[in-house]
Amino acid sequence: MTAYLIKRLIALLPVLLIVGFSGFLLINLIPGDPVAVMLGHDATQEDIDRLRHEMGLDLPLLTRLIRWYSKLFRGDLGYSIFLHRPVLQAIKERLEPTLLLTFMSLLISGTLGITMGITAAVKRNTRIDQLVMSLSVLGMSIPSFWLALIYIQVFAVYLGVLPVAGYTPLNEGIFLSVKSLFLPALTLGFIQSTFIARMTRSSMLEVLNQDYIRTAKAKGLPQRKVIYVHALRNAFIPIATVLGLALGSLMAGAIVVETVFALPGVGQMVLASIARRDYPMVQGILLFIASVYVFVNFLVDLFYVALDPRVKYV
Amino acid sequence: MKKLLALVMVAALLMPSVAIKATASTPVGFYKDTTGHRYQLQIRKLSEQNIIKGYPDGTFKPDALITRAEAATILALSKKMTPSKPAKSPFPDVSTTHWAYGNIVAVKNAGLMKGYPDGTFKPGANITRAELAALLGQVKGLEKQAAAITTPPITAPDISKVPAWALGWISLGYLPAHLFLTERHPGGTISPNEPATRGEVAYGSYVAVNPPIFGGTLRATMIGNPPVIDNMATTATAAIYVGWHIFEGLFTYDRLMNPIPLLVDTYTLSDDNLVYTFNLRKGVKFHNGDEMTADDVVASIARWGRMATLGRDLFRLVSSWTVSDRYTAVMKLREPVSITPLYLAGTQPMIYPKKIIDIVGDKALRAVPEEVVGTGPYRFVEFIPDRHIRVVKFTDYATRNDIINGYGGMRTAYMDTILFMPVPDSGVRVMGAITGQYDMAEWALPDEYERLKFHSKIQTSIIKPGGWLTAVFNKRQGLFTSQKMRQAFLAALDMEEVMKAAYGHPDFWRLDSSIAFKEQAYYTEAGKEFYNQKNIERAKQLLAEAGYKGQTVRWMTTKEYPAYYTSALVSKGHLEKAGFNVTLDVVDWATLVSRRSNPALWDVFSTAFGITFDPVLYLCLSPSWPGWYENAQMQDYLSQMRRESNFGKRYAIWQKAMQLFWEDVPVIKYGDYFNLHVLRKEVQNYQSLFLIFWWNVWVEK
Repeated sequence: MTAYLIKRLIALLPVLLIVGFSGFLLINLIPGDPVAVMLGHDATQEDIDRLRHEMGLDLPLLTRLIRWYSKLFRGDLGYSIFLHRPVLQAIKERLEPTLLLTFMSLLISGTLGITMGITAAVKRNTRIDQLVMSLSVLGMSIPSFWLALIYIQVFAVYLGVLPVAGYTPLNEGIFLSVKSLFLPALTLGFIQSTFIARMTRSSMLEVLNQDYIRTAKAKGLPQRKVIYVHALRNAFIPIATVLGLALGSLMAGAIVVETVFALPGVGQMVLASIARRDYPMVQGILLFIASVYVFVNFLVDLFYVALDPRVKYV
Repeated sequence: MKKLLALVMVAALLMPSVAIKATASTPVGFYKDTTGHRYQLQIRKLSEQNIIKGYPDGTFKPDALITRAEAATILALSKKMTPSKPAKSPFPDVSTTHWAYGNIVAVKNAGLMKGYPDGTFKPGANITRAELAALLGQVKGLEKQAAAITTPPITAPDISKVPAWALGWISLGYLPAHLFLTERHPGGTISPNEPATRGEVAYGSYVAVNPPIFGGTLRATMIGNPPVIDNMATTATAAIYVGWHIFEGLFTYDRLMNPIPLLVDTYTLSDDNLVYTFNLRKGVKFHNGDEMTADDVVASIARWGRMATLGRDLFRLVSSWTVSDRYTAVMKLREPVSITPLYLAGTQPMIYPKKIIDIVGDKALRAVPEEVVGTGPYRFVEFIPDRHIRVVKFTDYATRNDIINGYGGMRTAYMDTILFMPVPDSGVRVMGAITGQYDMAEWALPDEYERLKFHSKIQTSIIKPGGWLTAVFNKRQGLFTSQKMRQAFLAALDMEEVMKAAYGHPDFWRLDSSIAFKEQAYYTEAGKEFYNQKNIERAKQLLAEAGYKGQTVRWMTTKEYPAYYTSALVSKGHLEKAGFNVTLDVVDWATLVSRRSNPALWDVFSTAFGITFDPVLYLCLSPSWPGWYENAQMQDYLSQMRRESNFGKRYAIWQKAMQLFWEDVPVIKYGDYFNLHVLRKEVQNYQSLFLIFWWNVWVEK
């Protein structure tokens, strides 16, 4: 088991190195540079050149890449050009709303998605099934920013029960914090739940057709026990995988949603950092998000064994 | 099932438009001639309270003179007096059937308008501004305070014209606690003996009954974070906007955008027009408690002279810039620069403590309270990116005692706190203003104007002019080094189609050839025959003369500012009809800004300019700004203007320069656009001027 864990963890490293490398290339190869953005509309070439030199942006790409990697191996993600602080510190400062948002949307999408999926599977080929599946097509096709604006219009402007935008930090009260993130979480959660619902439905359908379900029914177990104990547990492996992947999608979705809702999270920071070419910041966040993603999926893999005793670590 | 689904889908699509249904008829408080008027909000509020009414033709005539009968009515209603209608009129010239009879008597009984010594009331006569001051002062019961004032605590260019009996009333009327009087223009005068207008009486009555409120928090949204908080280090709008609540310069602008002293008390110019002596105000404190002296001023302006484009422009002509004593700084020039005060009134040359400049040098200030230190009415507290920038009232602020005049004069921080909050999505900013989560949403989309202009919780502010849309030619390299090519480009364009596509709602753009706006002194129609030609044939002919062989025109534009992209797209259509071969390079703004400094990469790029305060300051005419306009004749005109100080002579030169502009076409001017800001109705005394500021503004809660 321990050997397996170590092996898996070591296997994660090359993934992250490649992510770091491609992230570095992508942001550095697109045209534009932070200095022009920083100095504003009427900066002269001499100003731009001076500041570029000060920030080391006039060095060849390869030199900068090597410098970045050598710092990275010492645990230093670099220094943000615009936020005037170390990248890691900047990410830490922005982590709270993003993590909370991801957690809340995962909760919403999981609950909603699994419930919808099970209902659709059990009531297969009925109106309810059709409704759930239509909803899920709707959810998959709605752009998140549009859904966000609709939610704001309804819940904040019409009903006036939730704030339009903005974030209240946890230290100002957990209730206020959750309230400020409710609409963004609902936006992301609803969209994500539709994928989960589809996966749950098909996975459940497969299980429900198996012999042991018929046996369970035949021996007179109550319907509820058949579905939640016997069927769901067996159908859960693909669902767990989708949940793990959903976490990645939710973090990516946070970029759009955080911008619409003006949340001071990692997502908005990455978007702003790309627009102003804050190279160290973009590289840092990319690496960070990739690490979270990879790590969570690693955890999901470990979770399989708890779900299914047949799965063994080798 | 399918039908049901289709219904749900349609309903979902309609949701925002149902929520946003527009009001068809004009609601109370809105008149044909008050939109954009300085006293629009007060007129609206008094109308909503049924205190004032417009004319049957739907106008209010805010600039017409007010009669004593009208003033008496407004006062009586503002103070909620009961009309008194005795059978016999106390005034021989007011009959008992006069439309304002009851209110005139009520006002008389309250001791406010007693009539003239000969026993008459003169209901049709006008009232002077001094009389208005006394009236409003009495409404507020300020008799004792007014009588106690012998030397006025305020000053103004025409303070000497104030009659002795009115000095107390007028002084009180301009003090921050009351502020029921406003200044007149040009000049920022009291004009005590001029008759008052209907708008002024509306403003005064409203504020006399609803006096300014100290305290509270203002939440003003912004498009995004400023890159730094250091006005000298960037021209980014957000940075300048936040920064000038914290920092102040030697000069600032009056309401008509003329320079007026701010930290400077007085200044002199030597007879040869080469030596400026600036006498600074004494007792001005920085936020760190130190007094501002000439050392700070010289260090700051010198830093601006090194860091900012305009600063370098000026300092090329400065031979020395020195401290002469603790409160005096002297600038010697190599050649006369008639607009030196205008240079110094800009939003970039701000005064910082010398000891901070000694530490940071020419690097941008870090956003910490130890470094972001100025003399302004608000003090910097914190900058949490993407959340807010918090500034709080500076309690030791040293205000001028001249009456408010545009951005200058007396400055009062009414609110305790201002939060500048970045909210990137314009729809969300507006919805936040509607729910009251924000007090102000800047840069709303013109498309939203119709649903917002009559909104009961909202006041709209149209900034007119906001700027002008342009396409800049590369005059250093490539196709458009040829004047004929530029002329052909201009000839093919239909400006109306471009502006309509770019800005939509007709209240937010206008066609005009002058690069100095209609509202500015240097407005001229010189060269307008070349503007908006829509002449494809002529364009074809010019192209043939230029020997154009279908080479690709590389036009750099961005979707980040939708108007830039739309204008390029529509123009492309016009140009292709004339035979141009145009490719649009659509990039993000950061890319555009960095690539435009390389002349090998582009032929045309899209941008827009805000207001430029003097003809010699136009970037688009500068040989060093991208586009590189090196025309010797134009540079000669501009340097003549830089030396000349007589307006008439300068204007004559500018007309020639504008004729040349349209013949030589260094850039395309499409038209003027206006900006839309959205504010809560509780925000009082907000001035709808080109640059937003929050001193002298209070929030009713």
